[in-house]
Amino acid sequence: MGQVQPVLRGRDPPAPSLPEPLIEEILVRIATPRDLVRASAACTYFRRLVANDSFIRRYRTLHPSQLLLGILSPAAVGFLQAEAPNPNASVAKAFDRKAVFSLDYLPPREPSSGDWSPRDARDGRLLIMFLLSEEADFTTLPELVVADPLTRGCTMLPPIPESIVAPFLGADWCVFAENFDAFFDPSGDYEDAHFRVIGWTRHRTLAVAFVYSSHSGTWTAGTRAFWSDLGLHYEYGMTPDDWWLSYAYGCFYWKVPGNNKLLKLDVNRMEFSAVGLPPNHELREVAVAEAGEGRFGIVIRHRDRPEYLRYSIRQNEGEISNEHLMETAIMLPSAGEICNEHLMETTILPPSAYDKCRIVAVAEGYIFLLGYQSLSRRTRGVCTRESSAFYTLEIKTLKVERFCWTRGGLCGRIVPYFGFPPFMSLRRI
Amino acid sequence: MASAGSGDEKAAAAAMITLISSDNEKFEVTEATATLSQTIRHMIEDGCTDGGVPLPNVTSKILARVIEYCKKHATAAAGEEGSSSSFSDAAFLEVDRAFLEELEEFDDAFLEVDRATLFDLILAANYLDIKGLLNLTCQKVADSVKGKTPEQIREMYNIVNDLTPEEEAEIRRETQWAFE
Repeated sequence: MGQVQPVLRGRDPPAPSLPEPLIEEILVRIATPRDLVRASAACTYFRRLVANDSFIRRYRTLHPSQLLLGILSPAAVGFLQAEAPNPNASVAKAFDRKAVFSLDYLPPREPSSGDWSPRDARDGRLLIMFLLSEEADFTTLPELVVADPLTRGCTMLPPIPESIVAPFLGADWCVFAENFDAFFDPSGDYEDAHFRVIGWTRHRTLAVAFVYSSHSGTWTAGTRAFWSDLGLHYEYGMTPDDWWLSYAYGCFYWKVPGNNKLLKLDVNRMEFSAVGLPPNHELREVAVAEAGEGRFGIVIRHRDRPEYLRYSIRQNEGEISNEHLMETAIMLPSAGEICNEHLMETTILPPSAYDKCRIVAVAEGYIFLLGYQSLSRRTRGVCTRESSAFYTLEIKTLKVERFCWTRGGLCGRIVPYFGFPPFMSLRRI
Repeated sequence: MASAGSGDEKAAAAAMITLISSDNEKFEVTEATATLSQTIRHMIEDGCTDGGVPLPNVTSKILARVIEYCKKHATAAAGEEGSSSSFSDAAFLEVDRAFLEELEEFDDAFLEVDRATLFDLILAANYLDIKGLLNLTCQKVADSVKGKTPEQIREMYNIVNDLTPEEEAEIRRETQWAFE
């Protein structure tokens, strides 16, 4: 092994050297992958130690906050890397060189009927769905693939059996695929060997959810709820991309367009419910995030002019609907800040280069914003101009930072991609 | 902390443990201080601390530092246990925060030692199985490599570079992002 001793000066007593397990204790505490790589280049022993699977697992457990490397846009645009001056830009570049996001290796589908599209990413796995177009045969079930962009490995999930879909949907069975969406279950420790996928869809009367476990390799019926029982009404004309989801403490939340409520799915109890919002939130975008110690961080996009976001912290879910309770003021560096001291809320103005700022995704403590000019708005999705860009709002710091430009693509659903540098990535599929 | 001359001197004395360094120096510490070390805790539980606890791997210089650390942190632990409802929650939080800040300052000052002493402390913390001290000292070394090049790290810690030039080139090629 490499001898590790502090450098001695003058009449220092003889220096001790450290046994191997203690060297591991030190290396595993190095705060950033960048510094770890540099340290591991000191000698062969360090290099071997750091490349070891058990070391990598331990490091990933101790430093769970993965790096935000990029954004997956619809297949045509692909992987949008973090751009300088974002500190992850160089790692993202290295990752992009190694990873395959093109989806070319997936089984080809009839070009006219749709495209493979990324729906979610978690723990180095990608969830990809074959999206059906308007004219598609609605009795066709959506196809789901889980892929590892580093190894190109992929596994196709079995179709959701008709025997569990039919009893839930009854006569609405034919519209099953229309609004279908799927995502990974982030709760529980599925990092290593297994994962769970939740598939859900909704229609004029109800929402249903199904669960796939890689452990059993099968789908099970999840739950169903009627809008009327939840006190919600369903609006047409919303695309699946308008239903981006938030996650906090084992539950998913969707802002239901046109309603003053959030739709909630409790993953452990497999149960839909509704969470009330303060008055006048029918047309506002609402994102939920974990604010630590069981508290909820709520980001609300107001459509007043100029547009702005407002952040507040609620002690518990029941307080989300409370207008004037327990809100925390966090001063922002931006010049455009408006802070209402009485309510102790934080107001965040969109990046000054754009007059519009829309929430497009929520993941891992970040709210993803699309900054754009209002001229480019269309009915379905947003046709972005060359100058439009994605921004991140970090919940912990409330910092808004430019992440990358949109390459001028059509912005539908985006999937933020978090990961580790290639050398720290473990095989997933 | 036990102090001489108090009314319950006897009870305090009963809970004292003698630690003996490799160079035969004796240190009297309270049981609460000593049991921050899992190794000593097990010895106490096994009833084999009569006549002192010999610690042949720890010099008096290092043992004195380790005891200094344990005394401070044992007081911290006792303070946490003793926090009854005599404070209102807000007042208690205030006291708690002040105390944590003080403890942090203590730890920072404690780590102001040369690297040889730091390594000795790591070895002692490992041998005595004092989790907090091991974490603190290992973290200090881990933090010291921040922003350093492999050459600088080798120089700081007397590490012999046994990588071939080809291997070095390969590392830089594979993880170029870390060297930019």
